[in-house]
Amino acid sequence: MKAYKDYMDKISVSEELHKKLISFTSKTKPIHSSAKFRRYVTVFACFVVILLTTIILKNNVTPGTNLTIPQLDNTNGKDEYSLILNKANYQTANDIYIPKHFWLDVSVDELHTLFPALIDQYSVTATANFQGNGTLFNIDARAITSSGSTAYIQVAPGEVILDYVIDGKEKKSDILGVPVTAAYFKVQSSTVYFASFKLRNVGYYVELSGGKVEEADLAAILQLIISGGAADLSIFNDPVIPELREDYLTINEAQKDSDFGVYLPKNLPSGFSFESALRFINQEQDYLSASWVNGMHYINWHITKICNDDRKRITSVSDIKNYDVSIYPIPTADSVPKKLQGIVDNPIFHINDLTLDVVKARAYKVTDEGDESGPRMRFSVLYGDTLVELNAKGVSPETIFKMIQQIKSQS
Amino acid sequence: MSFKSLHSEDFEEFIKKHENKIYRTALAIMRNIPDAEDITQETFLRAYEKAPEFESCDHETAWLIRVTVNLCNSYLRSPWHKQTNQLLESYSAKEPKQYELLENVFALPRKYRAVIHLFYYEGYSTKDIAELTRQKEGTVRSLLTRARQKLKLVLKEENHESI
Repeated sequence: MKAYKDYMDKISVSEELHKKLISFTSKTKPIHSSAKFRRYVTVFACFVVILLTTIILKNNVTPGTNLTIPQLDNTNGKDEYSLILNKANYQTANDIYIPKHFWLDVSVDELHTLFPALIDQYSVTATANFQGNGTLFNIDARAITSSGSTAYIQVAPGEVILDYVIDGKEKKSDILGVPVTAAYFKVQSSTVYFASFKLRNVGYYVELSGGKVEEADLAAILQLIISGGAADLSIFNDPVIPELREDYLTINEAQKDSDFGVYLPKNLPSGFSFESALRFINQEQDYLSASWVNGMHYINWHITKICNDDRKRITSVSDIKNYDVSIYPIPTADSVPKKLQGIVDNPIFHINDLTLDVVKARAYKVTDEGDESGPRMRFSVLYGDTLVELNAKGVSPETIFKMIQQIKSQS
Repeated sequence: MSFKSLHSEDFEEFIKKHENKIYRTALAIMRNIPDAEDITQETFLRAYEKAPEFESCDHETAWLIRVTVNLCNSYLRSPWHKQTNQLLESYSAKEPKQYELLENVFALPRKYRAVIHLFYYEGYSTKDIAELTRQKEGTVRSLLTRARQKLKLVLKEENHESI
């Protein structure tokens, strides 16, 4: 097994992951950013360089530090600046943790300030991401050509958070006098091209992918951004901060929460001890969660107001195909019909409809060596417009049913 | 006492000391980077939130590995989790022989992968692995034997010596 040892010896945690681990000491819990911040970018088209030069002069835009604008004589810009592409080994996880994250849509005027040259060629939309104290974290932008291809652009004060590892020694390209790190990696049959650079104290990251994307497309968009000069991020100073909470509570504090505290169970099965509770509010979510553990067994409670998306998962108890897990062999990813996967995964029952038989129909067992066995279950209960999602392992359906009924009498 | 009650520098030292070991163990079992990163984060978060007072360095390592293996099992056991094996695409092998061996190791069911990694890479005895994974020592021995047999069946004759 020497080959195996040699292989493993060469693997180590990325700098990004290391930073995430160290961040625990700042008393914050890592969460994953929503899908809206994940980047999937497609094709890009060409642009007219002579026109670009005209735009720059017309707008009197100051380019990046020590920037010299060369005279470009081709009309599509694709061949003028060839990039030196590094090979990227892989992309690391895309999740970025922003403490007490909130975000604002970037207005058209702000887009003109951020991307003065790009905005004439592309349809650009962007979101400004802030930390809870109102500090700008970054700008997530998407630039779409008339043909529908999209580029993902990240702009950040200081440095952008990069999520790739260059294979070997990093080589720089020169675009309009600005050093640029450009790279690519293969994803199945397509190629992802990306680049990062700095203009003054502003970091940029641009990414393109899709079947017909070429490195020249990346070079073209880089020229447009760089020629626009360093973005003035001061326009995002002093944002209006929405209500934000990310508070770890004691069980007493959680039970006293005026919105959701009464929906927490008062009596837990013997052996279970309180682990943690979190009160979280941002622009999208408003919930209280709590968990209890007993060895490798657990009970998780998540309380929120029901939203329209959730309503699709409300089921009548007579419709057993929506929730009876005994119908579907594991792995359920293969056995549950696609259109039922959402509801079977986490059905919602009205509290007045819920019976012990329904709770029993949600319980399943998986035996696994190295783990403690016990029934598992996950479902949600609707009390008026308050939704309680519970997820448990190692607790009988009878006990769970009692806990749910107990809340009914409290609330 | 958990790390929460200690200085952050202590926890940073703790992370530096163990992060690669935990990440590699998670990778060996999960076989893809995103899952292994999630497991690594969750393992250290648990250490930060509620690690017991460790009696020794070995105890500290064993606790982390036990948590990692349990988390991997929980993750993979989820009926909704789609398993992916992309490790060799992410971290390439340096030569065809190494690739062939690794491809077959990573194709083994997870209970074999965990035992293979802990035995051959981490150097734990079957008794230690039994304690770490809460299995009987006989079960660990038989998993190792079966894993070796499976590998020999699929690998070429000349690779037998390397197993």
